[in-house]
Amino acid sequence: MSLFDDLQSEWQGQKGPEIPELGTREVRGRLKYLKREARTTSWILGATVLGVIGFFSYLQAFSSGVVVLAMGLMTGSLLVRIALELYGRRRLRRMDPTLPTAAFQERLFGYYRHRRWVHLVLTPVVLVLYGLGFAMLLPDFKASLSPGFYTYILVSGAVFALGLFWLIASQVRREFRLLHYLRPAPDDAEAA
Amino acid sequence: MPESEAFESIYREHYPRVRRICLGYAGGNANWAQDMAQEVFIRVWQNLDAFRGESKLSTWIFRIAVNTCLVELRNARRGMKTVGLEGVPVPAPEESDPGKREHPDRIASLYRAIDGLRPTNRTIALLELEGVPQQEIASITGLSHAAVRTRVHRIKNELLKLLKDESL
Repeated sequence: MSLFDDLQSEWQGQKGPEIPELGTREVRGRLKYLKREARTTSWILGATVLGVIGFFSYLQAFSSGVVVLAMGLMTGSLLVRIALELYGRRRLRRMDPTLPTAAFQERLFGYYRHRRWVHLVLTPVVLVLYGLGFAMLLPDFKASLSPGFYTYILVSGAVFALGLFWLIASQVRREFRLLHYLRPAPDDAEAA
Repeated sequence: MPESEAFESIYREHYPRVRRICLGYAGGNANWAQDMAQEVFIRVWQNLDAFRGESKLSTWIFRIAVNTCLVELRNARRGMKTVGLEGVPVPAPEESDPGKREHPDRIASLYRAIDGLRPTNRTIALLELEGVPQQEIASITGLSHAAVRTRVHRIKNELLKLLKDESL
């Protein structure tokens, strides 16, 4: 018996947990949950878009054009970022898992390469537009709010921006690592 | 939708091997591997009606398992490296085959070594460890049989060298 055969028999002899008794029921339950979640997400998004439209109709009647534009930039950029994220997840979910693994890996690599464009071009644009909208609102805030509340808005705005930046940065870092990991090796091309 | 009984039998027959493949992608983390295995069977259930029998059912399921694991890597909490070996299932001395030598540390080292392989080689290594015939590995990966044969030889040497280096 070679050392690798020995290793192979150890690998196959690993003691794992019993096969889950309710495993198939859990699988079907999870699938129902995923479908429900997708439906709920669509409803929430629809309601959010309607809410935003209503809010802007109200705002247009009582506020200046600058405020409407600023709020539009902020909410619009966030909605675009969320839509891109949902589109990305949907695309990933719809990749055919029955493909030969080399072809699937190639598609997955293509997906992360496309995401790199989202992260390096679209996301900075979204962040700049959001920041611009926020900055445009500041003079109005300063004129109409108490100094304490104005400071609170400045600080909470900065904290929110930092949080958002951190969240996006960690996602970008993870996806770049995956992109690097999935890149075709020199022997992948010659082996097919 | 597929028949529940048929799915139940597929699940029972393939779960242990699918879970071990998932373990190989999860760096030995048992909880994460279990989640991955559940995700694999969700996709098996979703696609079972489309299975035309052009390959063996196990080949088809292994493809889904590997592809799902590749997608699920995005949920790795600490990048591509082993996420912790506390969950590594090693043979319990009283329950394992007395004829087999046990090296729990070696299994842990093996997970680390597999973790360091490129995606295609990692897939080939895991399937070879599962004892899947090379012709079937070729069908799962989409590589030629000759390419798989060459790679298996190279991967075996690489793994054994890594394990030897670790034990020094």
